[in-house]
This record gives sequence, structure tokens and C-alpha cells, in this order.
Amino acid sequence: MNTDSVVITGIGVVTAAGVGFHAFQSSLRNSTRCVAPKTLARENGAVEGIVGAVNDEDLPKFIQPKRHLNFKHMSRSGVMVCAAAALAIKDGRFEPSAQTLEQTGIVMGTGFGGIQSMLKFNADVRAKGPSAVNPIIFPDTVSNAPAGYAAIAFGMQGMNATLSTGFSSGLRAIRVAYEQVASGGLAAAFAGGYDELIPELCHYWQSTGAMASDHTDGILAARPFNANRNGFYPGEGAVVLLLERRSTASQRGAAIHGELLGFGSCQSNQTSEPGALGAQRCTMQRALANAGIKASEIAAVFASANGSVLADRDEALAIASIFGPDTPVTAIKSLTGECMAAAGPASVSAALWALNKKKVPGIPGQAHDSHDYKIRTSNSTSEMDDRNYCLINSFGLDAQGESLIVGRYES
Amino acid sequence: MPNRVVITGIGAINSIGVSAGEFWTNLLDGVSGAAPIGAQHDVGLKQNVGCEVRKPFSTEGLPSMGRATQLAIEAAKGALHDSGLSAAAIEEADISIGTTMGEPEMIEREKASACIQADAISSGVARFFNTKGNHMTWQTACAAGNYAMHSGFSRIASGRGSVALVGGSDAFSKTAFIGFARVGALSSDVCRPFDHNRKGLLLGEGSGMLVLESFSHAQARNAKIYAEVLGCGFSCDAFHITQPHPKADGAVLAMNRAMEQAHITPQDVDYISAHGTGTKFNDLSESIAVKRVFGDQPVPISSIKALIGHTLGSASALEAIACCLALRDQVIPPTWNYQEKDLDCDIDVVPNEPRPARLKTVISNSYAFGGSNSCLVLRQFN
Repeated sequence: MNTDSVVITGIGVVTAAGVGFHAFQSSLRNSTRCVAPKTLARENGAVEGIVGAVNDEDLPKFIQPKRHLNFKHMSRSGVMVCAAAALAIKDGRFEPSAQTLEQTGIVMGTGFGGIQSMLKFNADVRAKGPSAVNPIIFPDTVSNAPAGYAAIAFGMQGMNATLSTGFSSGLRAIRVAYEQVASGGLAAAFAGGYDELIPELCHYWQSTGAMASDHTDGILAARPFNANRNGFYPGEGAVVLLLERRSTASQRGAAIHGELLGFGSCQSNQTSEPGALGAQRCTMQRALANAGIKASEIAAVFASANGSVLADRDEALAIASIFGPDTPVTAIKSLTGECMAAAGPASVSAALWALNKKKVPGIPGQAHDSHDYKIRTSNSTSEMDDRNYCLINSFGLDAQGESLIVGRYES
Repeated sequence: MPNRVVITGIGAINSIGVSAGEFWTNLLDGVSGAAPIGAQHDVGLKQNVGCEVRKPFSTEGLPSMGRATQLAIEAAKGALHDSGLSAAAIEEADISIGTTMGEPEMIEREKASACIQADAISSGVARFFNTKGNHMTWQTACAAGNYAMHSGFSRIASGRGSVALVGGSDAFSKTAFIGFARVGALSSDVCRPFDHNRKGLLLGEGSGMLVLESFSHAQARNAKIYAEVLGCGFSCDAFHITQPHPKADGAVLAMNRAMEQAHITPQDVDYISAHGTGTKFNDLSESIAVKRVFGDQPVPISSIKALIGHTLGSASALEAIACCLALRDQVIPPTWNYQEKDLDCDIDVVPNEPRPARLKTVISNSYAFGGSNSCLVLRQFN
């Protein structure tokens, strides 16, 4: 362990599987599938499907109203990110001085950014004409608006960044924030990912066959790694982690969830086939090398798998080739739906819970396993052994992937 | 000891040039890119002036890519050619590109597809050049170019890479045009940064791309060096989603952080490339920031947006390219269209005429929606 490593001291989760780390833990403990049928309104028609929608009723109550911060008009992404940041602050008992706030930043990743607001803005233009469109939507068409709102809400004056590497953006954002905190550029960083359900995109995914629909015999179609899978359930969410140097966290007596130990990324430059075995293996191996940890030291792998036919196969084969048949593998998108850039940070949160409770959440679904990938999965939550580390994957549709390793914190 | 990072290639495309050379010549000659916007963008508002790329450029082999990606590829071709990098070195490059709007065309046409993913531009560029390094799109609105340049700088400075292709790109979009008009930020005729009678920004489009290299990598191949990147400072106003802080606290923090990272003092700064959009609030706030940081020291500051409009995510990349060429030619590109001094913007805006100057160290400000502030520091290489 480094003398001044970067640790996670706060977790803010806003997903279908729970708003708040406490509620999220309950879903993990019980391996609860939190996706449900829903009708999503589009400009022209509607899309019906099984999705992981966030219960947004309570979100505004997490944030104190403030001058120049109007939740009534804010995008869903903005509200989710502000709520996730508020939850991370509360969970981390983060009460910064003015000086610390000046050196506190936020780095968010997003797969689709302000697209839903852009769709709304353009629909409004078509409905009312360009000279009558509501200008209040315009700032939300820009993908860094949620991070901007969070800064206004909580007064963070350090680096305020939003980036995209596709679905893996959330883990990349944690990596960028880690570098800022490790180098002393920031005293504390909020980092994670966000994406909201975009009905138009769900419609597109449905038309391409990427989105799952449950089999008529009751078998869950979007069960990661299962032989009967036929796609993913779209989800949404915002997950924000609070990162600090270990010394800073100890100084203020913060409870430490775990330690960030290594990162890896790789891409295959191919878009024709989602996910590529070689690139995924390389991504995980780079993370292990970066952390200086052997594959045999990993207690569980939190996979990116979402029920996609090809991507799950590639990831399973890549995991099997590195970790063999005995390391527990789980995939929380079976609980949350495919919440895109929020998925990686949600998996990090789940892995921290798993390390601290010594439990591995299961992949809920049918009663039997029928895949032949030679990886160890379980239908329900199982015991974790004494190994200290988890590896988290986040792979996207364009085969750019990111892996991250977290460790159990021992004072 | 961090690696030194140098700029060895530049490529630009915007309303006044389809190469860095043409862009620079026209910046010094005062050629404006402002004109009535094309029929495909004219939505019938009273404002109808913009700075579009009107000259054709090659989009061969790029039919499925959006215009912002096509612009970025065009600028990248120029930068890579200019750098003289080998094909093998290009293959290893990390790619980092900033944007405000991404690829909005598909949305404006009521279609959704994979093309609208937020990293479409960087992944498109990586695919085109078949690079094997990391690629990333910075969605940090109008400061995104500086974020992208800092990202490449950090990787090379810390030894995690030797070559990076960095910059920004934004295509002219109806969403941005209508949006800026509706928030009252759009001028209906001319962009006059820092002028008493300024009425707002003009929307532009374009891309600026730069090749960053570790000094040792550049030296080993005897590359031409435009400038050294000394650092970049960031901050957030944490005040308002679109308006700058009235006392410019964030902009001051960004400049101070940049100078701290670059190990320089305000006395070392010979020129400031302004964010200077031409809006009432931005130019006032930036003037206040400059006064707070530099006091009565009259550092020349100019905005090239008078000619090329606000090119959003590519603005800071194009401004960095202008800084490189200012350092090379020892001349400051002026603030064109300047007529009447605004007493609240009491700064030396280098009005209407290029100014020969001894330039060693320059800084480039870039601000954004979300209250994001950035400041890049470049130095003449020796």
C-alpha cells in the first residue's frame, strides 16, 4: 500500500437499483432485479420496453435550493448528478473549508451527454419556432451542464470537467480525477458518470435488435452471460464517488470505503463487432500491471456484461483466459439495466460494498446456468473469500474499454 | 522531473482558412469570416450572420461521419503533415479532442443513432488515422480545447506517452445558433470584442489540431518546434450555468493556477490570447480578471473571435495555434472591429493592427458554460 494513495471516502448512487448507497446495498445484498416494463414518450410515438428507470420523485430533496440553481427546469441528468454528488457528500461526511472547496473539483464521464436535452430543444423549435423556443433548455444541450450545476450547488471551484469515451466514460473520469488528486492538483475530487434514458435511443436500439425483450417463457433475456440472452435493458443513473488522498482523509477522520489501485484501457478500433476479446483482455491485463497485482489476488470480477450476445461472449472469454474458472464473476447491469457511463462507477460502488461485506452480488434470473464460458457466476449473492481486491470492467459499443482495480482498506 | 512537452505540428480549418497558414495570414490581414449564413442553417431569426467554413474540403471516405468529425480530420491531416511524424509514430498517438455540441446534425434531423455518442469525434479521428493510443472527447463546452490539450500534455509530461494529437472541433449547428440567440448572446452583424458597443458573439465553426510531443521524441527526429507547453490551469466559478462570475473569481484562479504550474509570474507574460467572445458579460468579466491578475502592468490582450466568431470547443485550440504562430513571427494578432473603448474594459486590446512584439511567454484564456475556466501557458522554445 502506498503511503499516500488515493482513497474513496464517499459514494453517491442514483440508479434504478437504489437512490443512495444504503438502498443500493439492499439491492446488492438481495441481488434484486430492478428493471421493469415502461412506456417512454418520444416526439413521434412511444417506445415500450423493459428499462432501469430511476425513481426521480425524491431526487430534488437531496439538494438545497440555491440562487442560480433551478431544479424545475434542469435536465434529468443535471438533477441526477446533483443528487449523486449530494449523496456522496453526505456519505463521506465531507464538510470542506472554503480553502478546500477552492481545490475541490468534479470530473464526470458521459456516453450521450446532453442528447436528450438537444432532442427536447429541437422538438421545441419545431413546435414553437426558433424565436419562441424556451432558452432555459439550451445550456442543458451541452454535456458539461450537470457538472456545472453540481459545482454551483456545492461550491466546488477546482477543475470542472466532463469527458466521453463512450460507455466506459465513468471509469475514465475516475482515472482523470485520480491523477488530479494523486498529483496534488486537487485536494478532493468528485468523479463518476451519468447518462439518462433517451427514448429516441431506446427506439433505435430496439430497431437494431440491441435491446432485449423478455422471453415469453419468463426467462430473463438480458441476463449477463446466460445462453438465452438476447440484448440489454437500457438504464440510467448518476454515480459520484468522492476521492481524496489517504493522508487528507485520515486527517479529517473520514471513513474510507476502499483504495484506488490501478487502471487499464485499450481499444480495438473496430466498430463492426461490439467488444473484442483481444482488447478486453489487454484492458484487464494493463489494469493488473498498473496496480502491481496478480490475477490470482482478485477476489471478484465486476463485469461490464449486459446481456448482449457478442459483447458478453467476448468478455467472458477474456475473463476466463485471465482469471480461470474459480474467480467469482458478477455483472450488476442485471440489477440496474445498462446505465452507460454511470455503470462503471456503480460497479465500483458495488465492489467496495462487496469487499467490505465479503459478499459477491449475484446475477439474478433463471434457476440454472447454461453457458459454457468457464467463468464462475451465481444466481444469488454469495460469500467472498479473503482476497483483498476487485477488478471492475467497463466496455462500450465501440470497443474502447476501461478496467479499474479497487482494494479493501485496512487502517 | 516531468518531461518537457512541445508543439511540433498545427492544423486549422475555419471561416478564414482551410490551413493554419491561410488562417494566420488572414488573421493578420483582418479578413473576416462573417457573412450571411447558408440556407441550411438559416432558421428565419433576425440574426443571420455567422462564420461558416465556406470553402470546400475533402470529405472523401468520411460519408458516415458528422461534420465536426470531418472538420477535425481535416485539421488533423494538416497538423500531422506539418509535424512530419512517421506513420509508425502517428499510430501510437493518443487522441484528445474538445467539443461543445458534438455531432448535433443527426438530432436536428430527428434521428438517433450510434453516431450521436458523445465521443463520436475522437473515435472517428482515431478510426480514420487507425491510431492505437487512447482517445477521448472532452465535453467541456467552450473551454474543451484547452482541456483536450492539457490531457495530451499531462500524458506526455508524466511519461505515459510520447505523441498526442489534441485540439477541438465544432460544426455550425442550428441548435447552437438558436440557443445563443435565445439567451441573448448573439450579435446580429459584427463581433466587437471588448468594444463599448459590442452586441454579442457570432457563431463560428472549425477545428484546430496540434501535435504534442515529448521534447526528447521531437529532438531525436530533429522536428521543427513551435512552442513549449508549460501548463494549464483550471477552475470553476460555481456561480451560474451561463453567466461569468461578476468579480471574475474563477478566471483569476485559472490564470494563477496556470502560471503556478508553469513556474512563471505575471511579469513573465508577454501576451494574452483572450476568450473575448464579444458579449457584454464575458468581456467585462475577463477584463476584470486580467486587471486583478496583472494590475497596472499593461499586458497586450487580443481576441481573434472578431474574425472567426466563436468556434466553441475548437476556439481554444485555434487560439493556441494563433499563439504558436505569434511566437514564431513575433507579432500579436489584433482585436479587429474595435471602435470605441469601453471604460469598464480598460485593457490593451491591440486594436485593429498587428503589433510586432518581443514574445517569449503567452497565455490563452478559455471559458465555458458551466462556469468552467481554463488558461494555457505556451513559451517560445529554446
